[in-house]
Amino acid sequence: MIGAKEEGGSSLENRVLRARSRGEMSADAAFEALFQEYRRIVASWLAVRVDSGSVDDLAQDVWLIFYGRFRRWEFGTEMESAEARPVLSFLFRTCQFVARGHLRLARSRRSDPLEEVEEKIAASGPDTLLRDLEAAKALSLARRICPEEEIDVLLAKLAGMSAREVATTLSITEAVVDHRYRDALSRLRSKMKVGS
Amino acid sequence: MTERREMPEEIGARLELEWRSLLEAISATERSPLDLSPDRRVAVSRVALLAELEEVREEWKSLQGVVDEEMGARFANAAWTLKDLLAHLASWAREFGSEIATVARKESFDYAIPFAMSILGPNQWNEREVQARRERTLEEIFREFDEETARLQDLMIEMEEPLLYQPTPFPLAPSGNQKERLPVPPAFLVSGKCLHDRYHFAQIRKLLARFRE
Repeated sequence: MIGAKEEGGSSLENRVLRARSRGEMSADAAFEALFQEYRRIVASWLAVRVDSGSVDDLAQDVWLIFYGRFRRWEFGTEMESAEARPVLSFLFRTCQFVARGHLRLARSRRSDPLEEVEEKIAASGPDTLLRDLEAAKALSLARRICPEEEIDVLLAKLAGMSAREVATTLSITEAVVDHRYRDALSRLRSKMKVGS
Repeated sequence: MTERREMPEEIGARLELEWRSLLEAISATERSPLDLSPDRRVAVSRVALLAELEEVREEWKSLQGVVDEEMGARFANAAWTLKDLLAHLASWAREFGSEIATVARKESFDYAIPFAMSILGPNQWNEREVQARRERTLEEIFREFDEETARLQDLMIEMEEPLLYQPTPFPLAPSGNQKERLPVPPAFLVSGKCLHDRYHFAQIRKLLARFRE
């Protein structure tokens, strides 16, 4: 389970990276462990950002990018901190870039009336999957009313990234992370009623 | 009856509950890249290339925020200053942009960039291009790289599908023989450009850390 801690308080990611850096795990075994640990988070991050029909393909792009990168992964000093999760941070950032690329490509295709993509987008809006999930009303609302930089912070924090990790990943200060998170909640608060 | 707005912490708790439900409900693919044959474990879809180019541009922007003229004048190795190293990246961004644009126009190349296959790359070409940028300001070098990488992103969107994945003889001639040019699909060349950029970004980050000591 994501966020599950073992003795010493280290995450599965931290343990996998340490084992890999000591040569106790092959690159493929370490990759597979990280894939299994984070595949639902990656899919969920994408589901909040793009049309549901594209989530699988885009997740595949994210994992292929990470696969290429993991083979040359530098095991830096961040591993000394039990809290640090450089892989989760990398996946988060890559999801952002992949979603951005997908939306840019989709927009360019939409301007071409001959492309089938237009029909696909019309059939499944950006948050179809969220709309389908009865439980995700607030998330779906956030997707509609919050600017992208607030969504970024919201999704990172929901996945359990610390303010420091989010700040480093997004190249902003921890104060800005908190500010954006509070702004997103205030925005939601102004649109939501109890029991909705 | 008076309506009550939820408190921010209640909304935060609600979002967390919804997020956990989403994690449980989502049909995340179980297809790992390890299930693919090794030669297919490469991120060369248009979206993946756009994402990798975007990442490179973001990293470049963050370097722009910390490198000043004084730092740029310090030596990165025995021959080049940090500014030269940045100029090297800008020169390849321009070259790759120009090469991909040529292929997109369905034209061929009338020149070659010969080099012996080594980690050092095509030294003569590199040196000439860095020299050509010595009089430019850091700002001009930063702008050149970003504009050329943005041009590559545009080309990744516009390029016809067959051209993007068709092995094409680019100017790079690894054997040193100008007639033996490297046939690679443009998508792989763009992926290689990002790899080259990241290789030097890591060098630059280490260099900046050393400067700060």
